[in-house]
Formats: sequence, C-alpha cells, structure tokens
Amino acid sequence: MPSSEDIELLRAVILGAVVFLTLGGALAASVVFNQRRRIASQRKSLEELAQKEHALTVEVSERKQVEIALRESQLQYRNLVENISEMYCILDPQFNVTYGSPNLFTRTGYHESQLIGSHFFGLPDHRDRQRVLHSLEESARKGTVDTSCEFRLQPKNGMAFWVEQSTRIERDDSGNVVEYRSLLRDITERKRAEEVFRNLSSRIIEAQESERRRVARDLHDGINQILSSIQFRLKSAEEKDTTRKNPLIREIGEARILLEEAIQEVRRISQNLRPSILDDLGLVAAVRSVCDEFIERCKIQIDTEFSGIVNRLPDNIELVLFRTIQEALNNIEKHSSATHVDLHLVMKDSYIEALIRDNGKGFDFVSLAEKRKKHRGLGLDGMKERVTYLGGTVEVSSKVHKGTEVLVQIPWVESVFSKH
Amino acid sequence: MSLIIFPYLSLFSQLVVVAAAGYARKKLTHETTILAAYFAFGFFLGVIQLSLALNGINNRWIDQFFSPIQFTLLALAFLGWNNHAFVGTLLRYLIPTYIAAWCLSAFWIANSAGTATYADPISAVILIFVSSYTLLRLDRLEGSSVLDMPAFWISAATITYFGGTLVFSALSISLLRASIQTMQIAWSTQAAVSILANLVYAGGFLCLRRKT
Repeated sequence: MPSSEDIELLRAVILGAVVFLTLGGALAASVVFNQRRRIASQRKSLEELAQKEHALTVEVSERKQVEIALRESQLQYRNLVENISEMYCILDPQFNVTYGSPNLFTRTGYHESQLIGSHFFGLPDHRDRQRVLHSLEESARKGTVDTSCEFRLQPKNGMAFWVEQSTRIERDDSGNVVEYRSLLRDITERKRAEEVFRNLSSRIIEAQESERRRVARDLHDGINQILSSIQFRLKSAEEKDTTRKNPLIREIGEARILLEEAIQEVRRISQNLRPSILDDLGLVAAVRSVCDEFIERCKIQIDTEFSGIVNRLPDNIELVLFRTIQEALNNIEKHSSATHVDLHLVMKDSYIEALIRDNGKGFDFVSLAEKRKKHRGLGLDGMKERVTYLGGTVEVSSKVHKGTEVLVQIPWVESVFSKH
Repeated sequence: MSLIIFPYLSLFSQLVVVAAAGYARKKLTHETTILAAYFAFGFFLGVIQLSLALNGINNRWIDQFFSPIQFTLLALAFLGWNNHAFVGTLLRYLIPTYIAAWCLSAFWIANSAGTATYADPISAVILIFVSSYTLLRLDRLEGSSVLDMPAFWISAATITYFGGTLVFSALSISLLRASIQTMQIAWSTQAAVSILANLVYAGGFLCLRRKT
C-alpha cells in the first residue's frame, strides 16, 4: 500500500499535470473561440457589406442611366444652343464668361480664347455698360429669376448693333447666384423700325403743330382782323345816332357786343392752338399766361414754382411741356372739381420735371379704363405719346377724393442730342 | 494493464509526430523543419534511452545532453514565429545565455544531475511563457484560421508537455524518495501527458497538409 506521503505526491503530480493541461487547452480553446467569434462577426460585416455593395451597384447603375440621360439632354441642349441664330453665353457670379455659343464668337468677332474667362461687360458699348451692369446686379440682389435689358453690343470690328439680353439667374439652395445664362438676340432691325416710327410720330406732331400754327395765324391775322373791322364799322354806325332811339341802331349795338364776344372767342381759340407767347417769350411765360387765364376763367387758385429753367429750352421740349400742362389743366377744369392746384416746373441734373397736382375728387383707374373704352378719355394717351417721343415718362396717380397728380419727366441731355 | 506500457506508448507517440512531419514534409516551413529535426532527434535518443534502460545501463546522461538541444531547437522555432515581437528579441538573448549557463553549470560548477535539476524547470518555464505569448499573439491575428497554423498546435502542445515536465521536475526529488509503485504512477502520468502533447504536436504538422 502506498504511504499517505506518496498519495499526496501523486495527487500533486496529477494536479500539476491537469493544471497545465487545462491551461494549454483553455488558452488554445480561447484562441479558437475568439477567432470563430471574430470570423462570425466579419462574416456578418461582409454580408452587410455585400448588401451595401448591391445597393451601391443598383444606385450606381441608376446614376449611370441618369448620367446617360443627362448627357443626351446636354447634347440636345448644346445642339440647340449652337444652332440657334441667337447668341448664348453663361457667366459666373463675377460676370466672367464661362461658355459662349459659336454664334457669340462669330457675331462679336472675338476668338473663344479671348472671350472665355474675360469680363462680360467688355462686350456692351461704353454708353450702355453701366446700365447693363446695374440691371444685372439689381436683379441678382432682388432675387429675380428672369431679367432682360437692351443694349448696344460692341463687336471687334466696332460696328455696334442692338441686342436684347434675356437672362436667367441660377441660384443655389441658399439663394446665392451660381451663374447667369444669357440669350442675346439681335434687335437692330426692330430698333430701326422703332426709330422710323418715332420719326414718323414726330413728323405727325410737327405737322399738327404747324397746322395749328397756321390756323391760329389765320384766325388771328385773317378772321380776327375782319371781325375787328366789322366791329369798328358797327361802332361808327352806332355813334351816328347819339339818341339811340332808332331800333335799328339798338340792334346794331347788340350785334356789336356779340361780335366782340366772337372776337374774344376767336382770340382764345387762336391762343390755344398756338400761343404766340410760347414762340416769343418761352415756356415759363406761356405757362404763366395759361395759368392766369385758367385762374380767371375757372376761379381755381394755382401755386406755381419755376426752378432752374434756363432762358429758352429746345422748341420740342417747350412745346411738349406746354401742351402737357395745358392738357392737365383742361382735365382739372372739366373733371376734378378742384379748388387748388400746385404746378411745379423744375430743371434737374439730367431732366426737366413738371408736376401738376390738384385737390379735386380724383378718379379710379379701373372705372377710367372702362370709360376710355367708350369715350376718348382724359387726353392721357396724347400726353404720353408726345412725352415718349422725347424719351420721357408720364406718371399719373390718383385716388378717389384725394386729388390727382401728373408727373412728367423729360431727359434734357437726350433731347438736346436728338434735336440739336 | 501494466503502467510500464506508458513509456513505450510515449516513445511511439514521438514516432507519430515524426511520421506526421514526414507526411507533411513538402509543406514544411523553416520553423516546422526545425521542429521535425527536433522530434526526429528526440525519437532517436528515446530509442537509445530505452535500449540502455532495458540493458540496465544508466541513461540519465542522455537527458542531460538532450536538454540544451531541446531548448535551442524549440526556442529557434518560436523565434521564427515571433521574430519581430518582444519575445523574439528575448529569445535571441536567452538561447545563447541558456546554453552558456548550462555549459558552465555542467562542466565547471556542478555535476550533470544537479544541472538538470535546475536547467529543465528553467527551460520549461521559458518555453511555457513563450508558447503562451505566441498563443496570445495568435488570438489577435486576423485572417486565416488558427487551426491551420502550426504555431497554434505547437504552442498548445508545448504548454501541455512542458507543464508536465515542470511538475515532474519540481517533484523529482520527492519522487526519488517515494515507493517504486508511486514513481511508476508518476512517470506514467508524465508519459500520458507527453502522449497527449505529442498528438497535438502531430496536429501541428498535419495542419500544413490541410492548409491551402
């Protein structure tokens, strides 16, 4: 029988062997287990990756289809842009040309390398450059999508021609301008037609004025002289019977009074047709004269202000302003029931401004429009036609029971250029 | 069944390892070649030891002689697997140090039996540490399965084998004073552990065949 010491010894040997067997086995099992777990985790990740890859493949495929469609669309767009007669260009937010259609280079005479990357405002004529720049900047600032303006385009050969620029302003989600897409259409022919039309209008107006002047002169120098002569003779006949008991003489006296009224009426018509004071003393004197007559006739007070008017203005400007003021006063007399009128005639830096404001009953533009369908209206069309001919503007503003205001602005320098 | 059969089985299990190494000879790596040499040499010494024992001749000196060779070959194999790791650097210093210490101890300071009493546990501790470290490194390894790596099998087997050796060495003095029956049981236990370890070592070679 083994002793208890031997048994203890054997127990230690076996225990030690088991400990190291367990240690080795546990370590090995742990490594295998950990690796299996990692592999399972990696497999799961791989499956997820495979799913994502599949989704990505589908997305890429869809994107490719979209790209193909986009490319085709771009091709069509390019074909369209490159084959239209208009010029087309794309500008970056700093107004540098990033793309130009072949027509742009052909019409301007500049090579592609000269235009691409250069500032667009080298193309407009120097007279229009600031205006075009201002127009685009204003549109960009206000958030406008589409804008247009007309200007003279200065090609390389110096033969400027008129174009109408229609621009679409592309923006990002924040509203910042990404690019400007401009279509430039040659409107030289239209401008010529407009010029011809303007000249025609001006001739008509001039013919009208000339005819008025002739009729006024005929009335003043012809009929009025005859009527004055008749009046003088009737007065002489009347003075031969100092007793005035003869019924015939009384009739002559009454006829003479009527004749005097007729002479006054003829004189007034003559003045209205062509006030000689306008030709002789100028616009301010003529307007004062019209105002005096208006006050006397209508008993409506007028406050006038004449500021900065040079001695004489060009004939056409004087005439248009005079007729406009005359027409405005006629309207006040006929329609406004006003008790007070303000009339300002002011010379400003680059234009002349006439303001006629009354405190009458005013009118509603809608009902006025209906009225104009039936009748001839308030003479606003004629007023606008005359002012537009000189490159000016007429603004009429009115509210019911709050009076009416007519504001006329005529560019001074332009008028000088056009007529003198 | 007599306990005396275990040393024979242990020797046979070494033959299994050598056979496994031969079976995988075309796929042997640098490290596994060293190990194959180690097992072949160990089996050869085992046969000599057995024949000496059967003839009643002391064979203890063979163990003493084999001890530094065993440590060196195994350490070189582990050095190959941990070449760039901390343990690799450690082994580069430990191998020559161990051999130098062993030689000094064996030839000038003490007798051979006394040297084995200290050298075997020290080499066992070092190899258990290195094997455990190798397994921990494999634990962090990404990629192919550890079951296809000889380092995994060899490390696990080394822990088992040298664990047994360590226990037996620690208790060897006490065992020398124990009864013959107790000694037989103890040696048989160690032989059983060795058999198990050798089978796992064999796995280290066979996995090379499975490896694609």
